Amino acid sequence: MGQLILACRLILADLRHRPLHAGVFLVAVGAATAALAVGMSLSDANTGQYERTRAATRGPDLAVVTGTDGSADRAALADLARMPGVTGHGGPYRVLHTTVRAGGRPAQASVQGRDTAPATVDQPYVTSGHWVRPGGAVLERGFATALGVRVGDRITVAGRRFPVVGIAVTAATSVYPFEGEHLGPNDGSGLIWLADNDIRTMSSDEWPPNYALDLTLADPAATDAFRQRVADWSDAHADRSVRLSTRPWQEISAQNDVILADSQSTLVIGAWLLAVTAVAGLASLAALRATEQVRRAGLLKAAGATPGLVAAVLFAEYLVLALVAAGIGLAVAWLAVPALANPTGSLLAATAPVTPGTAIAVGTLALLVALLTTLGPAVRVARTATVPALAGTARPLQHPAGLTGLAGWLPVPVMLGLRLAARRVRRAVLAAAGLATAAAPVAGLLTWHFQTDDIPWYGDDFIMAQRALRLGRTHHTIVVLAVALLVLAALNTVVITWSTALDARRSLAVARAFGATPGQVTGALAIAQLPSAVAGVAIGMPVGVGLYWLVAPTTVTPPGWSLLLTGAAVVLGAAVLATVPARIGARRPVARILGSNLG
Amino acid sequence: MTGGTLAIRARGLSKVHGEGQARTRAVDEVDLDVPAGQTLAVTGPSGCGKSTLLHLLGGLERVSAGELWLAGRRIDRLGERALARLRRRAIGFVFQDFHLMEELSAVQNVELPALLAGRTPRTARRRALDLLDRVGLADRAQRLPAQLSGGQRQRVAIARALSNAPLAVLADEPTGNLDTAATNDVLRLFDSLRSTGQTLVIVTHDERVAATADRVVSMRDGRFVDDVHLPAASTGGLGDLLGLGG
Repeated sequence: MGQLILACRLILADLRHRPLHAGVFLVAVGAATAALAVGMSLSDANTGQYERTRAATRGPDLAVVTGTDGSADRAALADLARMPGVTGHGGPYRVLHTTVRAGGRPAQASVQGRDTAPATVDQPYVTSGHWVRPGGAVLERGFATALGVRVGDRITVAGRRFPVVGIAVTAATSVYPFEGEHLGPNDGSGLIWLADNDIRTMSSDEWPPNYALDLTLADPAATDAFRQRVADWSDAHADRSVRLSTRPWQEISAQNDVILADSQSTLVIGAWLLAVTAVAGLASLAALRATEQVRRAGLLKAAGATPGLVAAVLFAEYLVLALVAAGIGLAVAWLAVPALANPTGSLLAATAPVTPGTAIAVGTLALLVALLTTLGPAVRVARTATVPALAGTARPLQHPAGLTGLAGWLPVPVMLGLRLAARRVRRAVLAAAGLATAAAPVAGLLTWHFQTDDIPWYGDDFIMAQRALRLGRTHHTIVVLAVALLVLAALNTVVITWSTALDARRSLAVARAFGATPGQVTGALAIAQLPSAVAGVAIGMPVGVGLYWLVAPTTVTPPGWSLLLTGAAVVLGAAVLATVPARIGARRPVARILGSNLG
Repeated sequence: MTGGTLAIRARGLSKVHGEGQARTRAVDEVDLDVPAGQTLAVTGPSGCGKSTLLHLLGGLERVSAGELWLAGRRIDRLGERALARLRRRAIGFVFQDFHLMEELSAVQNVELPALLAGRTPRTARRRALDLLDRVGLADRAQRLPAQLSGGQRQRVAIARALSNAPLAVLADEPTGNLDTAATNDVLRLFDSLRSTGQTLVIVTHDERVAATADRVVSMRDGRFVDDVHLPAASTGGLGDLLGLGG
């Protein structure tokens, strides 16, 4: 009991006295857990939003659209509504596929004629304004958002002006821009509802309408079987030239997921990249506290704490932070996913419950970071004898003789820089790993850029629209991840350079005492970061392209020169950033450093 | 053979640092008996091995050779965990640099060994407050070390060393970082500990501190070169001279 209280007290005191360390941990690991939680929750949220919309609109189990026009179609739909297994229907509704204009912008749309009275199946849920009335149009919400249209605005449909009297959502079609009902979803089409009489006056023999019918079935889960019966029935009436296109609700729901599919994969991959960056940064930050931590451990051991207890206290602190970071990630996902999973606004918002799978994955990620960050210090603390620990003796420096000898031939900053880099190989590896994870999404963005420039034509408007939309969503996701990773990598570079400057303060002070200028020392500290920066970029850029290829196998690889140039820019950026802490470190008073007993 | 009523007993105690040409004998086959209740001062020039000897006696460092008993229990073969448990209950350390946990208040620092030893929080707190009262810092119990003077910090460290009523208090240059007034405060405390029968081993450069002991051992090159038992009248006289009587 006493030990437990002591452990809690030590953890709380440490967190209270070093909030920056805890804050950086929470930000770095929270970003990773949030990305993973969002990535894993998007699909569930999208499904949940569709289900909510379906319930609120009495959505159909099967949406049927005629492929031809005329009375034969209408009669066929009437027969369909009477088939065994059908429990309810809405329609048939006239549908015209046309161009609408709003604020001078043209857009493709399916225009459906509806009664002013509510339908028993597929009654769109009005989110603002009211339902259709003669001479007034209701726009699907995703379509209205894309056009920037609000209730009270006016739109032109097939040359006729209509006031927008309402905005609504429906579950009978996929989300915008896959709402067209002309032979199924078309590319870039929105959905508009008008009073049936208004549509009737627009259509003519030259421009006949199609018809849409919404059905509810006795067994909503068995839509495939019913769909097959409809196909058989349609074949049996081939003489009537009836062509029917059917879409079950499961297909409509899955269609909504398509837009987000790449974003989901990108976010999950990004979460692990963020986790690697977090480990690199936090381990570097821990190095700054190594002496203090070892001394603290020595003190506890002198007072009778076993190495295991000391290591446990250290790990427990990170365990607590990891659990909080996991909570932050899940909370961010809970708050952000409803908006992210509904990019077009075509569905009603619904919060995504955190599934056990997501919670376990997010918790595992956070604990993994905590374990990897703590493992080194915990083992070091457990292994350091009590007396050296009390003296705060840090890990011995490494001195690779070959590199040290070779560096002697180089200019002073390069010589000092390479020797500094060689002193802490583990730190260099961490720095390289951190920068590699930042270089990967940069390479991903570069790859995305070449996709949009050189997008292959599939000869199908629908697939093209889908690709463009998916690419757009993927781009947004990669940009967000790249920004997060670059910020963390920049922080890592600063922390690693600063810990290098602290580590080497005595040897650099000696160098300065014997004539090295602050400029040369600054250069040395910045150059010390270059080997790991070059290694990180050399690994991260191909990994980034490879990961993009994993998400989108039809990827066009960016040309080599663009990868080289971008990689060089990342290395240069890291070097420039490193000069900031390097300059501060190089200007510390030599006499004070050499006179202190901290080295 | 065991130490009997001895608090500490060492035979042929050695500690070797380094290997090959860098090999040095910090402590070289030292024999030592410290009866319970004795105040022993270990003096000698820097690097003579006196701090290493203290670390060996307290189980902070493993011996290279020789035998060591604490209250009759042989401890030179104990592992790291067993030594840690031993330190909890039988040893109290006082360091030159205080080594207080900066993030914990004075009372939390003092009760730390008691909590490690498994005392209940209530018992540990009561004992810590008693000890702080004893070292004259009852009104500073909630202060952080950074808010205390050097002398006050060392008094907190002494209170912490007494937390588990240890068999022996081992002090390494306890006045090394203190001014004269703070040194006198610490010496008064040690004097009061001696009067209660607490076994004390003090490593010191300071002859005034050594003069308060029952016995002074001088070290050079890892060996004892002198071992003087001071008569009680002598230490008392020096104590009076320094104004330690009260």
